[in-house]
Amino acid sequence: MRITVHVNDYFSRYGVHSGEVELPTGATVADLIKTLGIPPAEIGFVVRSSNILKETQQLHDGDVVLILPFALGG
Amino acid sequence: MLGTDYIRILFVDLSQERVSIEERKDLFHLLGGTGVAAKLLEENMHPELPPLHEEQPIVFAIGPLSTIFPVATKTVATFISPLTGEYGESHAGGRSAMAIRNAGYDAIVITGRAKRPTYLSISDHSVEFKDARGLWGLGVDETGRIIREREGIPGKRSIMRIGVSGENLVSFAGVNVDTYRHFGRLGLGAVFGSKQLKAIAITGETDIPVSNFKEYYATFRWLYKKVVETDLMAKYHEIGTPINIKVLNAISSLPTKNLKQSTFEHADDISGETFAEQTLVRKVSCVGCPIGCIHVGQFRRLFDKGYEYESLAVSYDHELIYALGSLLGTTAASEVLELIDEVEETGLDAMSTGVVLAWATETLERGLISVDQTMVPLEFGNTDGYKKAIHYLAERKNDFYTVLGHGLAKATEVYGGKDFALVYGGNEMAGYHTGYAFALGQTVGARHSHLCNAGYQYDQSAKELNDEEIIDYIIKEEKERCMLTSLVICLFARKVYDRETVLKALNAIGVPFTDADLDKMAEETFFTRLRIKQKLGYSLQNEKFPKRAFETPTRWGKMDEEHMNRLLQMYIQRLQYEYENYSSRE
Repeated sequence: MRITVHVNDYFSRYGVHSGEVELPTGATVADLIKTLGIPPAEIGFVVRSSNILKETQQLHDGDVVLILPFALGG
Repeated sequence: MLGTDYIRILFVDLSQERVSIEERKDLFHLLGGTGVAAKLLEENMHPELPPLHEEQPIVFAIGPLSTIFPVATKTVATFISPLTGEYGESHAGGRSAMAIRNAGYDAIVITGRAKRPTYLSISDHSVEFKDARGLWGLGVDETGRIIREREGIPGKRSIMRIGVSGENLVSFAGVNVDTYRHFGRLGLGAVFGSKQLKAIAITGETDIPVSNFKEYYATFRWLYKKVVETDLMAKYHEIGTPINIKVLNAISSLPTKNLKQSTFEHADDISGETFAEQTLVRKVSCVGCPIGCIHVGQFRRLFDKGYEYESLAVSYDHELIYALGSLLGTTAASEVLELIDEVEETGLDAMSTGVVLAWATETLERGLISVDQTMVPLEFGNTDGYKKAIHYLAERKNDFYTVLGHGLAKATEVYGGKDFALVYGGNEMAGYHTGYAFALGQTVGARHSHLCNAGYQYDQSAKELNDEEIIDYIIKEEKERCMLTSLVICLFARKVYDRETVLKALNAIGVPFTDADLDKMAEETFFTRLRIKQKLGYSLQNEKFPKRAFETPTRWGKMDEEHMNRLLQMYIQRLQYEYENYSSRE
């Protein structure tokens, strides 16, 4: 299945940019993160249709997801 | 004082134009910063007098790591807040910590009221009370320029100064430090104004005595590498905290249009990425910090007919973009910079200013006040209107702006609109509508800042909400921060300065602290601040949360008011229990 991923600029340090990703059917959010190669601890939120997804949630063909870091502060 | 076992304090009496110096061994165990400044405030304050009475003190304190280790850049100020009427604490960097260190002091206590507008010139060999009548009424930028020219010594001196809002005793006037940094929150600028103190210039050439230079230098190099060669702080340099705009917007946590919304349709237009692409011209650092987290943006301003433009540069970060951007419905990065510039020039706290203007806008929309009072049609997204309103606020132009200048809590007593006034613990809201831990954290934090205990971090990282866990987190985090801000490090470096690192740094400069010593001083400082608040008549039992906070979704959906109040009561009970335990041990 094909997922459209919008990756926050913060993750460009890992060589990861926005684009489309091919994943096996039934893949989860954790699988997507592993495929992208972003350290999981660096990921704040994976958002689909304004909903925050859990790592174990399944993705579906045609999904559009946002990958974001945590908000920073002092 | 480095190389000694005491804290060296400069006392300045503005009324008598007298100074004295004390060396206090009994404060050494508190390290410096928050620990020492809170204690000195408690000793010198007058709970029976109003916050702006001339006898109330201003205290500044640096810490043992200040300037000599990376990112130990901040000076802590304590005072009685004219905004909340209770404990005031604010932190600023720039060159201030270095200058106080070089002048040979760990802390400075200022009392009294100058007979005429005055600025203090403090060095390692003198304290001068200089005539500032010619500076009174000038903006922050011009005041800084004139004092720079008079005092000289570029690069080694720090200049703290107020704008007209401080002179006019606006309760949330701040103090500008070296152009790009501020004692922003809780109204230190008004305390300066009440003392006719326009500015303080500090410099010095005092040697820094490091007894074991080899060990110090090895530790410094190790720490420096930890700061610059790991990812721990890189994010603060790149886009910096403005990266939050897109993040908070995506998770329904970006306060927008007086928190009628928690997402902003123009978030991309004022995001950190947009600021960087369209306005960023340089990144600068406080002295002693290799990061460069201060992002400076540039904008054009038309100053005369005939295409006469000037270019202006101001620093921006998340809180400013929130308060003067999304909260006011501002739709362009350049317009946010214009509003920041007005706030800078008048010396107001940007966060409180944005929040009070957002409230005034909704109050006007609802017909509780009229345009006759606001003098300009305040509308979300109307930057020109807000630019004028900022000046009216700083100048206390009419009765309405005079009342607004006392802060939002007091303004609602006169005009109503309390349900949509974004106030937590008497202080205007910070830019994270993330959920229960943020709301509780800002309310119960000693200085009612999101930085007291970083509840917004819990809201973001928790997998499930757990009330006991929230209380544990808030208390534990606030105690640890009491220690970190006594060193005094910048809180952006808190992940660099874990316990092992703190002990290694202290031991390298001959301060033989243990982990237990750090626990003890953190606990003492935590409860000193609580005791000060009690002496000033503050009680958490009187706290009420704004209704608006429960109407607009957070990252966890809409919060429940009863649940929030239950959390507050849990916190109060836990605090009482801990305080009784602490008191019985001491």
